[in-house]
Amino acid sequence: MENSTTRTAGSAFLFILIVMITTVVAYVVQAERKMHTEGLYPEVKPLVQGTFTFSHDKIEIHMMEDPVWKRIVVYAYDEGVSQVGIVKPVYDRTVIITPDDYPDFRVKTNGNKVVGFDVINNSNGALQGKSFFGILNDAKEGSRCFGIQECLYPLCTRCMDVCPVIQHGVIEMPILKNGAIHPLVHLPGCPRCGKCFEVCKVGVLLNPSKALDKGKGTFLHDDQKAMEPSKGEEIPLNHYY
Amino acid sequence: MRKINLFCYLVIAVFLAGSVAASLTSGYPWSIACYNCILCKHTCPIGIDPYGFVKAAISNEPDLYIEASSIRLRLGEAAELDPRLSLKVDESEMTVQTALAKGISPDSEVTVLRMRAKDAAKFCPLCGNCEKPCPVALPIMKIIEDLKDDGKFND
Repeated sequence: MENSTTRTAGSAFLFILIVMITTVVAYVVQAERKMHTEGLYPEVKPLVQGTFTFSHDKIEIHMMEDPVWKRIVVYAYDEGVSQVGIVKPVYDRTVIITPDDYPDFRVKTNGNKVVGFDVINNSNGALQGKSFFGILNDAKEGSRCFGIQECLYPLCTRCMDVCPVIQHGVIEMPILKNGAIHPLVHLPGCPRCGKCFEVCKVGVLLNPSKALDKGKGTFLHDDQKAMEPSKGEEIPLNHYY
Repeated sequence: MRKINLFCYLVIAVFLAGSVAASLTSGYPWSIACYNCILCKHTCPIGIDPYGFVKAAISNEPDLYIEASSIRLRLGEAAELDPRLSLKVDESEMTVQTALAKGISPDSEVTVLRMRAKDAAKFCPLCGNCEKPCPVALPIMKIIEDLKDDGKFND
């Protein structure tokens, strides 16, 4: 009797030990690694520039540089003051919009702030509606804003999600005068945790040491100059001919 | 009747055990918690169906074809990626091989309909939009980041 009781207690103890070891191993393997970042202020890459050329069967956009993600957001504002966007690949610094291109998302705006968005694509079975080619032409005819941007906000909010002081508005996403959405960093409130530029995969928020190493020159990081390029140059509006 | 019930239970048990084993092998056993609510499906800005990544992890199959309806690229680039990639060309669906055989220029831009999970991961901007609506908070981006590295699970 005593032997069987001892054996049962021993088995139970062994079982609990195995469960605990398995739990610890599973936790260690699955646990998210802490992000190790440099204590630097983020560099905000200047808004990407491009020139639009309109023709009857396509719209060509020639960019000044290749984007990090090799893709760019082309946007145009519709009559409802929503920013309609499409994600297009960039080849040889050129983007081509054809009548077969339909928008990918719509961003709802209120003044210079974003208030919401909808994803429009084939996978949700939504009606395609008007092609982006038509929307872009309408924006040009109606003197509404259109252009290109690299930032995917509000579809991507990773920089704001990881910012430990976002409640103080350190990272903002205002809508600029030309209709583009571009991040604005308020350096006085920035704790230099380095998380925002680690998670930015489209290359808008950059690690300043890496940005300088790649010869990208001076970036906009001063709070006062956040909306203006360096050296006092004006941001050229996206223009066309 | 009892034998039929027993047989059915055994089939279901084998299927579930297979799924658990495959998901353990891929390194993402939590992926079997996905019950295909498809809330993530309409969130990707480039039209990838995130559930496809979860399915690939459950079955430990990075070559599983998933929906990726708004990825645009040149036909030549698509051919280098996967000749069996499914495209939309002029409102009709065809593979890359068929498109090239029809004489479509490799420099023309095409829209993807379905591609392998490991290829779709390369195009993902890691915006995290797919994780936000998940009711069971599955870390889908972990699967995508894993596939983005080398196209294999847990290598």
